[in-house]
Amino acid sequence: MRRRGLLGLALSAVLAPVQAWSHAMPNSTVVAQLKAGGLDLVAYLPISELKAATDDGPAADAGEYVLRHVDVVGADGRTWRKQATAAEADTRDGVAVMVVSVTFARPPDSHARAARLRYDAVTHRIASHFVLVYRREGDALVPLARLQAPATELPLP
Amino acid sequence: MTKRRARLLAGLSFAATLVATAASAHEDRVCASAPGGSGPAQAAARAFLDSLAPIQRATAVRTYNKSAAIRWSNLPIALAPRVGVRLGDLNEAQTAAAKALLQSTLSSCGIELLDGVRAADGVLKPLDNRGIGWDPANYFVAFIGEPSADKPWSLKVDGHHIALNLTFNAAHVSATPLFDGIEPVEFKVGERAYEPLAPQAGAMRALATALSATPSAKLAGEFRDVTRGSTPDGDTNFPITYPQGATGRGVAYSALPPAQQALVRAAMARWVELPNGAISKPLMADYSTAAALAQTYVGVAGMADLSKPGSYVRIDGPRIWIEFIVQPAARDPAQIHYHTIWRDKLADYGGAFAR
Repeated sequence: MRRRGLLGLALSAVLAPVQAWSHAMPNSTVVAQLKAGGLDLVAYLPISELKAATDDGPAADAGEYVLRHVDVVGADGRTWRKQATAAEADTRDGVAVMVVSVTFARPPDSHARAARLRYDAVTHRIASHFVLVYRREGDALVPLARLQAPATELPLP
Repeated sequence: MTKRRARLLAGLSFAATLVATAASAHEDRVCASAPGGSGPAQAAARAFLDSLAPIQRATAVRTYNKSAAIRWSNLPIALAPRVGVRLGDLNEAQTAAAKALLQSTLSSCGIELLDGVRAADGVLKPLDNRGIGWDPANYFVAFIGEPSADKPWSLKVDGHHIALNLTFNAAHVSATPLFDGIEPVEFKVGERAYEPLAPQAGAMRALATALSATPSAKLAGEFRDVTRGSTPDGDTNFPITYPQGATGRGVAYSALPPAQQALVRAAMARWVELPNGAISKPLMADYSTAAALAQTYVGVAGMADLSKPGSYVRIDGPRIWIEFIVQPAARDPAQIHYHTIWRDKLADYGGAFAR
């Protein structure tokens, strides 16, 4: 719970400036954290954009949807095993979002160096949407990349 | 419209002496320019600053650096506060000095567009239930760097649905990034009919319609806004990355028949003609060389007649980048409004701050 609280506080600062739209479209935010044996990822998807990308698909399927649009690929080309651990609706600074948590397990005989994150939820369809990707370091969020079609992947530090 | 509102709009209008441009006549319009370029712009900027009170001058001039330069937005001011002096706070003499400054930095078409965008905010103002700042008075003039005869400085004119960034004495002649948008698309103030983006929308509509039978012009994905715009914190994604190579960019200019190539050049001109001719002519010349056009692409999405949200047209050259998007109107999602942006991959902010 403490982790979620800290993450929520940190993300409030991150999301606040980019979600105060009057009529423009909010972006997604992804927070990744490498850990022993894999990676934890939390994706914040504005529900308006999620609906646009899925033809109003039910939010209950958000976990499965994100799983179809995210991968971690090691330097050896193998994809890491992934599992959606939570998907729930929330509101961030007045914007309704789906918060989807995904856990990746690294193959036991591989290492994390030179692994790459692939992510194209919403952007696979909405070309004007972008995703801000951060690495979590304790309470801090370190910007890593801005993903917008056709870019869909970045190296994990 | 109330008499008070009419007086306000008339007082704020910088183009009251300009003849209204009929929407149907924009194809043949001529954008006139007063003497421009670094010298006249600097002189007009100094005269404007001299007309201000000391506290206004201090507000108007910002240090020349990246964080100040990239601070602009298309959002209303309550969602994205601006720097500089507010046009609605200027007295008569200061307004005249501001008008002279704009005449030395914009063309008549640019001034007319600015007037029209501000007038549209006057239409939205009574509908501003959220207090987000729709108001023709809420447009700001700022200088990034002291206006100088030889050192780099920028003029920033920034408010809801318009952001002008004109840079002088830098590595490159520059009028970008330039954002403009409009809501409502058409309106009347008194007896005068406005359609401020009619030249731009008309050019893009003609181009998209001509390309509707060209499958290679179709861009993948859907569009809900311009892709290289600002965030409420400013142009925080600068320096911008752009598509490379020949894929995902639409149809090559070189693959189009001459009539469609002419439509591409005409559409480019509707943005490039907005700054003063001293700025626009060298830019248009560079964008229009055979070598540049050979590397220029046009992409479209949505409805060719630009009648529905998601309709999108993009011109993507080695330097020029123009996007035009149709969005639902903020005041009424059943209506539409436009966002557009003109960027220069080489010369945004005069070519400074790219690293």
